[in-house]
Amino acid sequence: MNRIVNDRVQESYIEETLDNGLKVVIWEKKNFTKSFFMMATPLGGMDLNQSDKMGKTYSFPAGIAHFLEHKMFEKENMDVMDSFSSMGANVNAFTSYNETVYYFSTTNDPKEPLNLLMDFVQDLDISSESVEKEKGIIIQELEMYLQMSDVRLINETLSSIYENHPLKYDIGGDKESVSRITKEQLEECYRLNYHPSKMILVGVSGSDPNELMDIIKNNQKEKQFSKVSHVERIKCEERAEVYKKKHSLSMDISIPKVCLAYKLTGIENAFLRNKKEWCYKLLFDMYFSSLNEKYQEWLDDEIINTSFSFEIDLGSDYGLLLFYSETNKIEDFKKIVLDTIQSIKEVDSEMLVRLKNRYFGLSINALEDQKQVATTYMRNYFAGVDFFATLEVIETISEKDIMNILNEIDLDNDCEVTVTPIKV
Amino acid sequence: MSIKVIKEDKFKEITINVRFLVLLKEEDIIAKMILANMLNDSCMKYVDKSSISNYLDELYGASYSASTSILGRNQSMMFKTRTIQPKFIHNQVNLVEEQFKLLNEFILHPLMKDASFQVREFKEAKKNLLDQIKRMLDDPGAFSMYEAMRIAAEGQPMAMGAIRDLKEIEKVTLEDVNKQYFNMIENSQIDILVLGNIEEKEVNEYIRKYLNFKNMDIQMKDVPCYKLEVKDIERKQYGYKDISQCYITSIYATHTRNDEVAFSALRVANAMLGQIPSSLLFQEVREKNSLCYSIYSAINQYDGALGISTGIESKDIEKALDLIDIQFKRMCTGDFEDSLIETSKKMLVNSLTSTNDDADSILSLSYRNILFKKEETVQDVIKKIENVEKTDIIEVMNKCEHILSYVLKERED
Repeated sequence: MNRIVNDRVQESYIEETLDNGLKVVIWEKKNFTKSFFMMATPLGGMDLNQSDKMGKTYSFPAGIAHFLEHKMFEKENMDVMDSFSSMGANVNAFTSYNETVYYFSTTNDPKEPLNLLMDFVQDLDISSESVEKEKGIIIQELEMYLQMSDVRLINETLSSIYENHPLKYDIGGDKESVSRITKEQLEECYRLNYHPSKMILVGVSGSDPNELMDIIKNNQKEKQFSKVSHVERIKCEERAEVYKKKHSLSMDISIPKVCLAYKLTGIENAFLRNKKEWCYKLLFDMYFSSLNEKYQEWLDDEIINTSFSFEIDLGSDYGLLLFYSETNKIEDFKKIVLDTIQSIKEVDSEMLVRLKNRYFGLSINALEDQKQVATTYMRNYFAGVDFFATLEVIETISEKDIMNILNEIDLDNDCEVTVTPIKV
Repeated sequence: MSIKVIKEDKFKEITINVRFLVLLKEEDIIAKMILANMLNDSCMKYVDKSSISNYLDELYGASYSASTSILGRNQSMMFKTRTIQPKFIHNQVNLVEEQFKLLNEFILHPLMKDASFQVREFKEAKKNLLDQIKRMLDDPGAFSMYEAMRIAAEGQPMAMGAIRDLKEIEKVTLEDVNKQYFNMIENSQIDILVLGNIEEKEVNEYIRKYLNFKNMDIQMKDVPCYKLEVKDIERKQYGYKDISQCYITSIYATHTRNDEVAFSALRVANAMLGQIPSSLLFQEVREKNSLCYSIYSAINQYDGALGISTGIESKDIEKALDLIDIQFKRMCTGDFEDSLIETSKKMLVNSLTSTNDDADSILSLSYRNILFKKEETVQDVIKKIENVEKTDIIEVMNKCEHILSYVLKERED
């Protein structure tokens, strides 16, 4: 067991990998009453095609990770949510493109709910009837997201950029793919992806970390897990160019929305990926936020409004740069994005220092949020990078690093997606 | 003016709230919203967004915001700043004093000329508000909630914040906003709350230096909560949009104010009805009948209202409404397990206890005490929750009165 301490941000945690392969991290939050625990597997919306070390391949319908998340809460003799509630603990879960996560928080003694978290995540207990019944709930959830115009804009952008990559699907799949999912597929997906050696358990608590570690060890040593061959996501063949240059749909909204996206190349090395994401973020904070004096002109000319934002997302086999806003002036919007990127000739060194100060302060603030601490640790672990190293990477970024990333954007490799009001 | 300093060293930041409270007037609400927008963006010292962003970055990602909210019969304007504790930085900037200076600039030296804000900033703030309301109304779930509140509480504070008519925003003039600013400074109850690792003496010194308001004596006579009146309207109403999922929002008058003893029973009842996963609505409508993904009930504590919301397929509207009605009646007749009472109490106690780990929640509780002129601790509230009996729950639910079920459906050709 290791104890890691960071004096600069005054945080510490203990970590250990158990005999069954489960990675456990307990973050120490002295004087906090609430405990937060998260158990996660790197099975997300993108994991539709996997292969094991023997070369055997497995294919699943879109939305299977999310479906499994729903079904994990069902046990024949127990209502999992009810059991957590009766312990005075809030339980929930989420599925992203990269992982499935189960978590609870409580201000009571965390021992009972912590055992329950491990027990329910490490046991799948489903019937064909219950799988069919769950489809109605999941389809209503997908319908809910389909009616959110902001979510729709981003989802339609992803499905326009990618022809084959699983990012083209919604994390939850669609009505058709969800309807196709069977009990057997869920069981196989579970068997391959929920072995403790694939998972991590992160706790953030004011309770004694050594006692918490003992609870976890005692729980795990009583369980047997059959060996399973390690599976990984199969990288898909995806063209370098965007799939569709333009796409538009209509919804019952009052202001049109536009997303201008650039397809980037993925970066295999997680540390480098993290550094480059920071470079993009710092550069576009300088040029596409209120730090740029032209930003006010764009607002005054109603080319953007307060919904304007940008996002950068880099993975090992994908990369995306998105600019989006509500606007009636879509052509002007495209022009300001393009012109601004083309006009970048330098990085203001004083502004860079101030931005580094900003993100140092924000990272200190983020350490107050137990869920955010656990989520960030979990994501860094799955990516293979150190938590505190990612906090410090921003300090190492130079003006030259930032300018270099401009060479990685192909401004012709763009895609424009609009959501327009329905004409009555 | 009241000053509340909560010394707490477990948080890494220092948070300051400066609150201005006035009686709610329907004709002032939108002008106040525009004013908040304007006070967010500029002041005499930081005349544009760029200069304030640069300054906040110098203060290590400090945050500043101005916002307004309706609290029952009152409207509050809140100025909030947050910085990390000075111990995390190595330079000589006094981050706490800078926070007070920042509040001084934005509250007492807004971007005005000859006692008037500028037309350009006014236009921008008005457009921001228009866009914000349009965005909200474009979301069918929020639209349904807004419509239900507007219809169920017409003429009462709960309906006043649910702005639907965009022309009302257009009508507001620069003079209206100027008037609201001076009214805020001169005629508000002012409360300053500070939380973090800081001494009261130091805070008082900064307040004397930077937030020395002329008006220090105004106090609201009454508490902000009221009992929602039930008017004679159609109990089931429909709205239409081009959507594929329908929304149901039901509103009930609780006839129980949040300063009454019975309010604790109402909190437990609400948790049992639709706040927690074991609740009757979640179990019956979602888990047993698979009609929805999300269903919940919530108390609007200042308005004496309880709301239920869900999204379902149009073919299931009547079935869902029936199931909601059945669960409500079960609460009124005591047709539920004692274990549900205990679970609900535990969840409420868990939520209340976690207040102590969140800076904003601690500040909200403190402000609530100021509004209700009392010194209630989290432990006091927990004790009241733990003392609630089944008979209290049945009694408080029987006082609830259904006002409206609003159904937002897909538009028919």
